[in-house]
Amino acid sequence: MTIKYYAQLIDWTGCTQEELPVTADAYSCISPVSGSTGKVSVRMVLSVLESRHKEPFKENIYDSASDTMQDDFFILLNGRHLARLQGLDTLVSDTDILSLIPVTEAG
Amino acid sequence: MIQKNRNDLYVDDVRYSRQIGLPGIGRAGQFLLSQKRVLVIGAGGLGSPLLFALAGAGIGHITIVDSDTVSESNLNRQFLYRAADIGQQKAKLASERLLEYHPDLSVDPVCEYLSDVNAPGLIQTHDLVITAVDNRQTRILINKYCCIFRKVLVDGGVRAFSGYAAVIEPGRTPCYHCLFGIEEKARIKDPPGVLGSIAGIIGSLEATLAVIMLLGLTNPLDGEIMYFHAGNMSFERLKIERDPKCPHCSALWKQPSEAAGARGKEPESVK
Repeated sequence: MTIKYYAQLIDWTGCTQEELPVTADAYSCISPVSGSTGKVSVRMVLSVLESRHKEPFKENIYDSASDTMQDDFFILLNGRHLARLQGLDTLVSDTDILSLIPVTEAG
Repeated sequence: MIQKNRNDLYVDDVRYSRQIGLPGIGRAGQFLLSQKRVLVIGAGGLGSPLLFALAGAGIGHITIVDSDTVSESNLNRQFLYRAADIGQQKAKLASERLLEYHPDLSVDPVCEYLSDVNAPGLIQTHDLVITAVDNRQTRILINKYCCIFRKVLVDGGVRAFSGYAAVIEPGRTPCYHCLFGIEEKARIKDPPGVLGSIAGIIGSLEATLAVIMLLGLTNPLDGEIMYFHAGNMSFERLKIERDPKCPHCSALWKQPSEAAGARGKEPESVK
């Protein structure tokens, strides 16, 4: 799948987008989420991204240890807000696009 | 209302010579702009560049809504104001500055908060609405009434070294609520700062989009959001999907959109 970053998330990850194959093997190093059906969820994707990008990602976006997502950015799956789907439990496929966007409200 | 030397049938061929020669504008387009009424909500960082750009483009009437007064921390980006203006009403000052720049302009300052009380009347009586505000709640309010009255909404926001601009055509593109109208459990911990020039870039983008829409040209974003990030000098487009359950715009997708009316075109059929 494709992960796209916007605004300061580009600084935190060092890229505007990256690819992440969604296969069972790709997640073999990730501890299964409690209650997981074995399919790949957004939560699992974020865990992989956290392991790739380390502290900046953990501090500003998602911390897998506490399962905490910072609340000043949005996640869209194929252009739809994750909150309108199944949140972090939303399942993804290899053709999906996950977009991470910071809240941008000032004027 | 502040109004000086207004003549609706007149196009100043000298003042607008650099625009009249552009494809898609011409004298007819310039006259069209002179007939348009634009509502700008917010006269701060985004409002400063976009108001000057709208006035310079020859928009006939601009209403400026802002209840705030000028403070010293505004002066890194709000170029409408000067140090001597601290404490004065932004909407009134902005109107005066625009008239100094363009005496033929019709300007109406509204020194009030936008609310459910004044928003319907203001939004209904303008051709196009532009947000230049600093919070999501006001954007949601503006979006609601733009959907009700089928007004094209140009939205923008900034944060740190980044910003975005979008055009919302109710019934034709996803609306603000489709994407950002999510109830949040908490807000940003610390108010993020912004580089003054970022507000200049995004405010200018908003003004450009507004002029394009008022001329009846094709929406260049077509439902996508344009993000700018100074960290790598990138413009990235974000495709968003409408919310089929959106309380504001979902019903509009079931009938032909009249939103294109603000662009001077006949309404289009909706897929």
